[in-house]
Amino acid sequence: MIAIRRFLMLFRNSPTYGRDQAALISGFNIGLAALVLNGVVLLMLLPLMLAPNDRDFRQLTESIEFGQLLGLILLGGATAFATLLIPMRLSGVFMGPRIGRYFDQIVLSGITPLRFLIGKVTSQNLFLALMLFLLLPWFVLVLSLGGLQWPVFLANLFLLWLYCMMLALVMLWLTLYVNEVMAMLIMLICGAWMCGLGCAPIPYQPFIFSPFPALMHSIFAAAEGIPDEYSRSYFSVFLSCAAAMLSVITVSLIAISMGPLYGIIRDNSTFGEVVRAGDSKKKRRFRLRLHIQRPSELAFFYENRGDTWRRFEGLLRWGSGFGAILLLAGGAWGFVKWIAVMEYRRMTATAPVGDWFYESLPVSSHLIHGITLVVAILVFSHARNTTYLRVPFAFGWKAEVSKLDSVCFALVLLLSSAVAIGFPYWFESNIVSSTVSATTTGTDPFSNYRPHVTRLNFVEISWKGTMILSLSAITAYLMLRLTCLSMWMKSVSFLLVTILFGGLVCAIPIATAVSMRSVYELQRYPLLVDNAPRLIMVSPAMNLLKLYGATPPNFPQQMSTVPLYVGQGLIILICLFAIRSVGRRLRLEYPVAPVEESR
Amino acid sequence: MLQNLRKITAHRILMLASLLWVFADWQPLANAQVLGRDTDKPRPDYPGLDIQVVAGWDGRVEMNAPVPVSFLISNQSDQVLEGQLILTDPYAKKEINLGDVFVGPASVKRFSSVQALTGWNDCVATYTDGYEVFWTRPVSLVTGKDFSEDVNFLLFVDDSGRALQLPNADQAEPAEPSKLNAAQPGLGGPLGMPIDPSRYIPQPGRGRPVQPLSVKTWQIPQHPGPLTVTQGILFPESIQPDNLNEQQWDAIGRWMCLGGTVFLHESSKEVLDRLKKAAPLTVLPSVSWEGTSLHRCGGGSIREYSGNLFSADNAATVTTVLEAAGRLSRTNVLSMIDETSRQYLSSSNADKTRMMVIAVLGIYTVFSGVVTLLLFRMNRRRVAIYIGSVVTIGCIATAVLGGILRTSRGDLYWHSITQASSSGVTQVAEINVQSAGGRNTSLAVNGKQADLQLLDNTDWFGRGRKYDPNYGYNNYNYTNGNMYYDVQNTFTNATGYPAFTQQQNLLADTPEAFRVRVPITPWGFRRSEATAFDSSLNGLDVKLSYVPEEGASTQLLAMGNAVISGRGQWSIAIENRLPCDLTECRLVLMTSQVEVSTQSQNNNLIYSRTIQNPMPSIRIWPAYSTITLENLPASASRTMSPQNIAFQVQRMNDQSYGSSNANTNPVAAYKGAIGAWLLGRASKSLLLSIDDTKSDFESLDESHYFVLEIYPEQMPEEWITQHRLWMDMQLKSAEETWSRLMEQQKLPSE
Repeated sequence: MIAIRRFLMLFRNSPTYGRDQAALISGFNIGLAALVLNGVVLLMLLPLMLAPNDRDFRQLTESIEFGQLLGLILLGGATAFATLLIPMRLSGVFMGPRIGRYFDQIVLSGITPLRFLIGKVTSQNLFLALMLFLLLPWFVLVLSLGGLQWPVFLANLFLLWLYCMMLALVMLWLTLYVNEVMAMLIMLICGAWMCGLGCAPIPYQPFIFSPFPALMHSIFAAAEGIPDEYSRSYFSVFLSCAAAMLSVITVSLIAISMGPLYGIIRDNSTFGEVVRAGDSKKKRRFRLRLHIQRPSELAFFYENRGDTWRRFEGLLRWGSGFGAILLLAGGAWGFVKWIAVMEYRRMTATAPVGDWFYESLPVSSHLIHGITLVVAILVFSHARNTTYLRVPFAFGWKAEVSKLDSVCFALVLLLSSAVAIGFPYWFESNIVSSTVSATTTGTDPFSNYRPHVTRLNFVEISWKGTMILSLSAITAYLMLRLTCLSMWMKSVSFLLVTILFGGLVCAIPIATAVSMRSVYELQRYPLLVDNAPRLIMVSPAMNLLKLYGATPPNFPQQMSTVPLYVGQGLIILICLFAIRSVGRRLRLEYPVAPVEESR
Repeated sequence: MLQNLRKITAHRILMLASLLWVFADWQPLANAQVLGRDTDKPRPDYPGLDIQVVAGWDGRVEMNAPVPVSFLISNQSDQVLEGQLILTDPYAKKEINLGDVFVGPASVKRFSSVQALTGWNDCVATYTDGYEVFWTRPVSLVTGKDFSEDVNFLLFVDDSGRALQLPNADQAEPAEPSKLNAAQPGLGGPLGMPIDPSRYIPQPGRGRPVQPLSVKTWQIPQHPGPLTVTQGILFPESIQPDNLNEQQWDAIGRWMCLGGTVFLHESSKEVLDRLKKAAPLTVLPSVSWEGTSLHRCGGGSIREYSGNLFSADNAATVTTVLEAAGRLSRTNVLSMIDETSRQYLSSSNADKTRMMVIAVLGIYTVFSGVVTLLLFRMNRRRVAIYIGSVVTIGCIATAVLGGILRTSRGDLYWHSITQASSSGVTQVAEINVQSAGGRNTSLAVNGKQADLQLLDNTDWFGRGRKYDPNYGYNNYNYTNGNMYYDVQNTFTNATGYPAFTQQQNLLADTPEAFRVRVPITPWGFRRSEATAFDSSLNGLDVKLSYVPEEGASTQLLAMGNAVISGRGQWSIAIENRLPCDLTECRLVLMTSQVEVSTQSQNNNLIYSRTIQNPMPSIRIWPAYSTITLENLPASASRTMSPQNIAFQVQRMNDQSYGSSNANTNPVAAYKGAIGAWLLGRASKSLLLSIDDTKSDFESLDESHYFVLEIYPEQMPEEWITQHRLWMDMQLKSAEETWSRLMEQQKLPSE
């Protein structure tokens, strides 16, 4: 009972809830809500009234009662309205106190971030109630027209409520990492995208993070030309949507409760300002570091959080990141395996499999492997103020962020490389060899297209490409780790490394080599002309192109990949030394022991 | 104890969730199985059950007309089968429940229905009791053959399974397609294609090709609608009155009065008497015409033939019947109403209720949104009171609005064509209704022998040249859910009733009244067609006389490119016996002109795509003469003094003159035919009236036309003789010219 009471108090006793409750009944809030909401619903209804003989509308209104259709329109309008207004309403959650210069008081009050933020979420219930109150005349119209299916309507209403909760929680989660305005824009775009795709008649609708799949279910069930196999029963669509949104809500709640991992070092150890050495000699506009100030203040705020997750913080953070990457990559590999095996068996039943199919296997492997590594690079790296932070991993045992990052990245790299190399081997030995002889090929003798990747070499190309990608990923990861040591924002570091890696490692060798061979003045130097192909092979991009036979026609075919390994090895060594050197200096800025406040 | 309670609760929740899951997910699967959607899997029939099902006529299905779907159910088991016949379109998710069917042990049952299947792609018929599927089969709908060709269709009704032997069935040598295709577009396909051996091809200028279709008696529907795509029914001499049931004879009788022709053997007197009884109009005494005894009845006729259809010695019998069938008109009063233009200008209830909805909700939006925004200086309590009041008033207003919408009377506009003849009067009306926000309303008409059918909703655009109140005439057609600009349907050959699903009369106990349900979407349109017959009214008495000029017995006089002279004196005497005034009267006379053309055949859009170098072709154009008459009040008589008239040749698209409204001319029975019509506007509806008390629609506008066709046997004999001579001469001359032109075309290449 005490736990339940505490849980309920968490929602009731939030200052943001009280503030929202007090501000809800205002001319501006109600007026804006009524204007947008009624406008949206009216706009959705007008086509039905003005073009009742439109064939699609007519077919729809013949199959569904007008009252039911109007009910769906109301909930659809309310969903669109929530997508638009909830992120807007939440855009002032930190901005308000920070602009009003009372955020330090909130931090000093000792309120936990969850209790502070959850009030904003629960106040969305008031907003939803206001929405439904403003829609009352519409509901009366629906009832007077008749035809409303109450169970479906109530189920959809429940999904709408879940959607509002999800929007609020995800928006708050996002505001912990990015500026509120940017978070609002991201939420608006993502919400609109998710709602739009949720309306599409896709078989086994995967975009179930909005109520639209459930709202559109009865319309698609009645619509002409959409096979029944495309849609499941309403109950399963409802369950899918509810489960998906509940999952997001749960993850968001845990994430909000834990907060962002943002270390406090010497430069940002003063609440409200960031002071670095030599600042007294700089002009004021160069001393403004808002991009550091905001997350630093949030980091101070999150010092107030409870001990619920603290002992397992490392496990939760890195474990969830690692698990999410494995889950997504595993899903992608599973999908590719399913498609490849199914298509291969379907094709071999009628004719020899074309080379295009064998070409698509390494392409798919490299694509998934590459994307997995890019995500891992982004997830398992941290800014300069966090890299050498020591966080409790499990049962209070502490580990350094940089080590956890390195271990997780290495694990992902190894696992992904193993699957990317193993999958073509497995496919070749278990599927291809068991069905056709090694000499059988599906190449069309009348076609001019001669693919570089065939049934005989797709395994070799797969592992070679995987090696190139893995090596490049190590290089890029070390470059990012190095830049992160001097940057306060990981996203900026990632952008910088993308440019550096794309330009310096991939593009510049190609551009230089091309100029060596094509600029007339340089052709007088045989050393340059002879070594141009070697230089060009330093680039991983050119190595991959060569592997797929996509090099220019006059490019030498028999080129060694040694320059790649030498070049990448050099960069890796340089990065390692630089990280070691910069890291030593940076460690001095970290407090010797983490500051702990007794509470 | 607490732990036990928790276990029980959890157990119950689990059970409830499982039950929900089971009920939620298995029901659609069960439905899908019941409806036979998984037609790929072979499903054994119920032992002893045999069902024959046919949609359309002998492999031809006109999707833009009411489709007859007939079943012959034979139950040789010892069980009583009790179930429902269901038609489904798995792709379009359409389903029609044809109703309960009980079949006793060791018995055979007929079941026929008339359905609107516009837009259907596939059709699966299933006989099921809801749990067990007794029988399921796919029914062919999209056969590639319909009734839109310019061919006369003759139903040969015979249960023995014999097919009519055509006199030219063994004609192996195709005629000159380039010459004859133009004269007879129904020869059987694009230029150069072989002649269809299943058709009878008369001589050019002597009628249309005839396509016989073999059907069984159990396929004859119980409503004339599906029959109106055909022009004739041929009964063999073995037909007996009890071969068809009462409803089937009634349907044939009505179809005949609407323009159909029944061919009967002269010995089938019992059948003739049965037909006379079934026909809602008087069957007139016979006259001898074109080798048959002709009984006129409304727009159609009964023709008695002599000789045996299946005797090798009597091939002339079949030829006589087919020649006569080829000269039947494809247009009748139903096709006239279909193409009559209408423009309704009255204000409508639909617009008023629509404006009310927009106004109420718009005002609510303004007061709850804009005005509330302006109250930013007010305190919370006042804002709450204000918005509470606005929402309360909004609720009351929308409740009242909902009530108004549900009880609102829709709009009704209608127009009719009354066809008068000596055997009585037929009236066909097209009734357009629009909902004013309500739905599931009803429509009722009063009139002798009245029938009212609600046309398929999709037919609003379905038959090509249709009138849309918002966009006027359009040439769009919907197929498989997509809208196409339909060139071929621009001037459609569709004839007879548009598609409808037969509805029973909801006022079966009330004499001379017919009421149907009108399921309608809010503010949506529906179209319906009503018919009524009255044998007691006698129409108009028209006497035409023609005195040819001296020396004009062999030819008409070509006066110019587009005008020919009748070379004779015409006089007319008319007496109006109808109880209404006739205005805007005009007498339309028609003859034909034959010519050889070397122009590209733009008149036929199908051919124009294939022809690069136009070849000479023989064409037969109609030539019209219109005489405007004075208004004819009820019981008034008019005579026109003898005068010479000129005919205007109408060189237009084959069907573009096929409308009966005030500005265009009626269509000839066939190319090379003569015709005469008296057209006008009636001051009131003669037979049909809208029953305002039993209809949920308010009649806002109506207009009524009148048409009387003077049949060839009623024409002056001198005119018929002269026309035949004129046509023979023209055709002979045209063939000579054509041959000469063809020779000239060959010479350069040789």
